[in-house]
Amino acid sequence: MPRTHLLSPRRIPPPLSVALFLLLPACTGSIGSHSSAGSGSTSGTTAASSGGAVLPVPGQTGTGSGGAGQTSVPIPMPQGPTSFPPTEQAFRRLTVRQFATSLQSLLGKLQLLPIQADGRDNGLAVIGAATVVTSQRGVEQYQEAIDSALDQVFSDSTRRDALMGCSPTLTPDDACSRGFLERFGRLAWRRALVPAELAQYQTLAFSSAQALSDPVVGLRWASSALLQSPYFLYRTEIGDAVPSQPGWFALTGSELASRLAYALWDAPPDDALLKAAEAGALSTTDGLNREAARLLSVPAGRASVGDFARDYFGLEQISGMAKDTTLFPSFTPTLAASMAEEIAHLYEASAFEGTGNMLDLFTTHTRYLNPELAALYGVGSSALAPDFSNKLELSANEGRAGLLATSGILSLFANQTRSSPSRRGKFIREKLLCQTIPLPPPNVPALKDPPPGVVMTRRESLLQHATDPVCATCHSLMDPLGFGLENFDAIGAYRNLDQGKPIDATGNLNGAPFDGPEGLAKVLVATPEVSACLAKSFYQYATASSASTEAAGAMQQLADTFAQGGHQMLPLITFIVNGDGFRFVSTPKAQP
Amino acid sequence: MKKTSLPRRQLLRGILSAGAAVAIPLPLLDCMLNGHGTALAQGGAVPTRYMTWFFGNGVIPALWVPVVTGSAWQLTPQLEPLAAFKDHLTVISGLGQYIDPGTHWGGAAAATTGSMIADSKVGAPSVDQLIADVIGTTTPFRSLELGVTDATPNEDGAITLHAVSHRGTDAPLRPEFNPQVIFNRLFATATPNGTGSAPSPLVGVKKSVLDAVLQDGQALRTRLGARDQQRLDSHLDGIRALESRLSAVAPVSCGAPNKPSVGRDVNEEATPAVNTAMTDLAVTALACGLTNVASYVFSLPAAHIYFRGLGSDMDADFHDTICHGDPGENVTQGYQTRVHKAVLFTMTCFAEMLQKMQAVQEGAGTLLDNSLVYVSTDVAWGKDHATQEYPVLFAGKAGGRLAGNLHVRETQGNLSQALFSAAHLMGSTIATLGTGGGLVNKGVTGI
Repeated sequence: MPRTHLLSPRRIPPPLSVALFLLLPACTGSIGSHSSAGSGSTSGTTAASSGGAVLPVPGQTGTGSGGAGQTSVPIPMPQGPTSFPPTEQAFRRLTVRQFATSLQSLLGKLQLLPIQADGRDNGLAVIGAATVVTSQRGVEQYQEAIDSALDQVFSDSTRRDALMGCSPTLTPDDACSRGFLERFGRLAWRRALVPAELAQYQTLAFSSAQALSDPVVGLRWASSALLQSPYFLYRTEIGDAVPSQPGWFALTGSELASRLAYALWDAPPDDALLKAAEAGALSTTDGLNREAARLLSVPAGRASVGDFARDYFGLEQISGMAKDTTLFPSFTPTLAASMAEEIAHLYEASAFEGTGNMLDLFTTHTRYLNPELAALYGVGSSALAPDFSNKLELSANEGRAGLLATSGILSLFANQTRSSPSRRGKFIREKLLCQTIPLPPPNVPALKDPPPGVVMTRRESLLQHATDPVCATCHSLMDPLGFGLENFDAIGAYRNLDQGKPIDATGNLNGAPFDGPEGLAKVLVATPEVSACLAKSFYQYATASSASTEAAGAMQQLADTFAQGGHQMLPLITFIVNGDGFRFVSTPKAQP
Repeated sequence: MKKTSLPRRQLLRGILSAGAAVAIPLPLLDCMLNGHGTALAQGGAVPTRYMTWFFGNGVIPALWVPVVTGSAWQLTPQLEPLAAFKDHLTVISGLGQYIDPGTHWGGAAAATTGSMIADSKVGAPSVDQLIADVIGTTTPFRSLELGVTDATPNEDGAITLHAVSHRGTDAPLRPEFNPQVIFNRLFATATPNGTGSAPSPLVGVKKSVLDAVLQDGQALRTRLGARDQQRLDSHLDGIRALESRLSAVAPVSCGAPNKPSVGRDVNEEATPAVNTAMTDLAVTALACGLTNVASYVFSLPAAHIYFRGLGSDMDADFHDTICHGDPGENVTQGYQTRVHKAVLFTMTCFAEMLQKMQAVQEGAGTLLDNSLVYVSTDVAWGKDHATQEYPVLFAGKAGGRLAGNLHVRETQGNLSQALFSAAHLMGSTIATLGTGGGLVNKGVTGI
């Protein structure tokens, strides 16, 4: 899963404004002097680093002290009622995407074998990560993927030597081996190994090296164990008890570093973030803000918003759609993957470019497209660059307004052969307005067959929903929204006709009428719930928790702040990171 | 009984005891059985095997359910492809499901677990996993999940549309759809030791790698709450299973199939070639003691499958266009002929499984005699998501516990009763099965 969008030097966010942080009552410190968004950013150890290994060179490792929850930094004080309540203590498995970014940040670019799919909770894989159970087959797949990844590196002497950084010898106390395990282990486990752990892995490396008569191979197998260890595949949010606040726990430095890095990069902490954690810098608001600002200021920081969109909409599922191959021969696996990329780019561009008003993502006609998608949209020419660096304007005549007119969303919420106004409307209600549509009742009757010889458009056949009261209760919430997108077929290509008849794309949102996707987008942007839903769902993603009912007040505050600030993502992110809900956890509620 | 000479090593490993070397991918050769073929020579019973055979989108109940109950039942049009196995069939009718939503999601949960909670999550293990708790503990693979085609709508990742086996909530066991991957799992990678040769040093290294992982897991475990300890335990069980399989011996005499030439179905067609390859693998795994429990997904719930091989009129999305779209309300005034065609094809593919299970001799009986195959689907009739009159079959004789050639009919029965019966036939002693509308405390009357 290459993160190509992170690699392009073109993708640079604007400098973070100090003013962003002044929105935050608790944030009184200085921002620190992070490098200002230049392409020469020094954060060379981010997940974005391409090719080769990204381990720090020998001699630059941390002290090796500490370990899980071992740092002796002062426990921060909760900020109180204006903040979000703490999330629950959790034991999270890396998501499929995080597994990929984590392995690649350690080992460089890889061809990864498939692993067990994510579980989803509240519509998000990052939340499902706290409850999903790994099957025996899942454990096998981790082993296969990890060993294959290590083989790719160790079979290439350049990559292997760069990873190890020295030449190990076949001796029990080999300094090179020890140094490698210390460095690699710390980055893999996102904390320093405690001495007993380091000793255990030294022993493993040496015994393996002896058995196979090769110290390099010994390190390869010790690396396999470090990566198959639950300390790599999972992360804890357990924390240390806060004496003044029973039931609350302050995340340890390393736990908080991981939470921050996976929230903002969808990738593991780099060496600098681990160093900050080890120095106790994350236990102060200033220190946490400084690191958050650094993470957001580099290209990888765009993932905070792009990977939110991937998870929230389940964009990886586009590739699993079985579109009718006769009707849609162009719907290939690569096109499906491109559709997902486009939406992540749209979210990132809306947050980090132009006005930064996130609601523009519903109305903009500007897209970053690769040639495959440009052809689907009928724009561009043969001179396009092969990647997503082509900034193109789509046609307002065809109603290509923002997110709802992306082929990815239109494909995901459609059937194999036909558009689905019901599913598209349900998507708008649930994902963009944060509303709930009840489940269908039992024995749902099929739509009546049209009389012989009569051909109905999709809209005409769905009008039965409006006349049958059993259907109308829910479908009156969905269908009139989806009708606005009827100009787009099951893979999001533009059409004028359905079954030979002109498209009627009129509809309404809670009575507000619109005609076509441009009109639908304008009505949506004018609906306050859209902005509030975006803020809330982003909070859920960034904290990997469903907002509990006691957080309702905080959610309102979040929505208000987001709206009053002009729907800017960076202040929203910082607001969330500063909240108690990000830095503290509480004992989990009793399981049902 | 034919005398067969076996190397002592293989014979010893064929004892199927729960000893150290539990990995015994050997067939039940005649010489391992007693003179009657009913028990292992060493005294243990021949293991009973279990399979869930699942297909999506239901049937046409009026063409499926036999009219007469008892042993005088007659084959119906949709059961006709199973004619050769009538003696091994127990048809169960009169079962419905009472889990919301009464569509493909809820129906799939009802037909496999009897339980569903929010977000399309199951609230209980599926029946194959309840059974694996009983008969899956000593085999190299606790259970095996295979599938012929992965065609299904995504529906926001609704998990009951993607897996019919679950160890519990948030613990789906998705089927593997690539026969070559299954082959490699079963036969290619589990053979580090050549027969008779000294263990490769690499095996020892791999074991110590897994030991290190287990050691980390045990240390981490003490810091977790009860629920997360269980999640970690499940992971560590997987590590132990890998470790025990490192000692596995190659299935030299088990008729291991050749590596399948066919890969996964990429056109959502459930082609006969993939079905044949998967059937061979499933039968071999059960016959050779690699596992006692399999879950075979011919097609997933709500499968958006294309039965193009059945004729030019079948090139359409089976779930959307054919099941829900084709006219035809009942048998007398005209029924859905394209749906009927697909059900017949599905049962023909099932017949291939039964035929291959019957071809495996185990003493006086066959693998089919020693197995229970539970067959069901996600909706009774696809067109209107009917929740009543689910098609349910028990095939095989469950090691003599089923007589076969029987049609039993419940009055307003619950689909969970079939799951309850299956679990008890396989030795489970659970007192209740399912939750909510799927909760039952008894099996099917007459079984």
